[in-house]
Amino acid sequence: MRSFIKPRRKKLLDDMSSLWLAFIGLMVIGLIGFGVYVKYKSSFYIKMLEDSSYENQALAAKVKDIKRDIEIYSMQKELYTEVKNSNLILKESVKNLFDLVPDQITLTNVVMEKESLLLTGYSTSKESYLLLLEPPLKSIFDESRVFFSIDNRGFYQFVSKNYMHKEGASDE
Amino acid sequence: MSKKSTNSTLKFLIYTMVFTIIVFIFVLFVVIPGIKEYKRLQGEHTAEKRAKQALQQEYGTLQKHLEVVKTNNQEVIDIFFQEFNSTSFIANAKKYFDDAKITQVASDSNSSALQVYQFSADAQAQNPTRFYEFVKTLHAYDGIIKINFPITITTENKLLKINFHMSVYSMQHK
Repeated sequence: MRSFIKPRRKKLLDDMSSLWLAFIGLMVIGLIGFGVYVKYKSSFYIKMLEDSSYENQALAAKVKDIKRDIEIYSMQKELYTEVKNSNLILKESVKNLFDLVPDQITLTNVVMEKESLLLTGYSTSKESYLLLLEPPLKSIFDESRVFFSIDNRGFYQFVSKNYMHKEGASDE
Repeated sequence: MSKKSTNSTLKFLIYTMVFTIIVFIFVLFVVIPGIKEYKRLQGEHTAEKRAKQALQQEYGTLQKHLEVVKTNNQEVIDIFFQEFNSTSFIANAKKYFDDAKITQVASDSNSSALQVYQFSADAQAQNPTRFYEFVKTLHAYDGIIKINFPITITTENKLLKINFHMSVYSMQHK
């Protein structure tokens, strides 16, 4: 028998298989492309994140510096006021002390501490000290002690020790 | 049903399954993690942007506040930044005392802002009026000067001797 049609080459894949494989291939390329695009966008954000993180750190350091400066300037102002007041109080304390001393009493040594006062001097009589200087000292200090001795001129030499107790200590 | 038709249906089913599996694998291992990562980074970036805005706002406010503080405290700041000059201090002190000496006894190791001096002065006087006047003028010197306790005043042959420590606060430029 003899055929009148020319023999056709047999295809490796039929039409439906080719179509499917092409479709699957396209889909795979599309998905890989999408994955690459997402990665690229992510890396872009990573770079931006690094930059903004660095900028934020620099800005935070600047904010810290400014806060420190404000604190220093405020502390300087406070210190200035405190020093001014402290000097004024100290001057007034010395002035008040010397105003307290009557003419009958001569001071030879004064040691003024924050919470104590040591007076050394002499007077013509014990009473001058006991009546004129001791009462005001007792009204200022919590504890006032005096020791007398007579010097070779016949004057009463005194050493007066005066203490102010701390508030917490006196309450106990 | 012919054999050809059965083969076609089977092929169709196999290709559909292969397609579904490939898509599923790519979505599960490539697309979803990529999107998740992207969303996370986007969120972090938004948070950083917000933090930057907040910091910029805080910086602006603080800068204005600093200017106000500086303007209000200019006099004190100037005093602090003047270096304490012991020679001119002694020269001025001698206007009130016959003899005045000053020696540095300590310096705060933690900061250059605090120096402690021992000041001693002799004056020919019966009362410490000169001392009061001297204290009044302390604010006019360079640096901030604080008189510390104890203050020792002794009198010998009408000569008043005053001795005290003083703290000098002065920010020195390095």
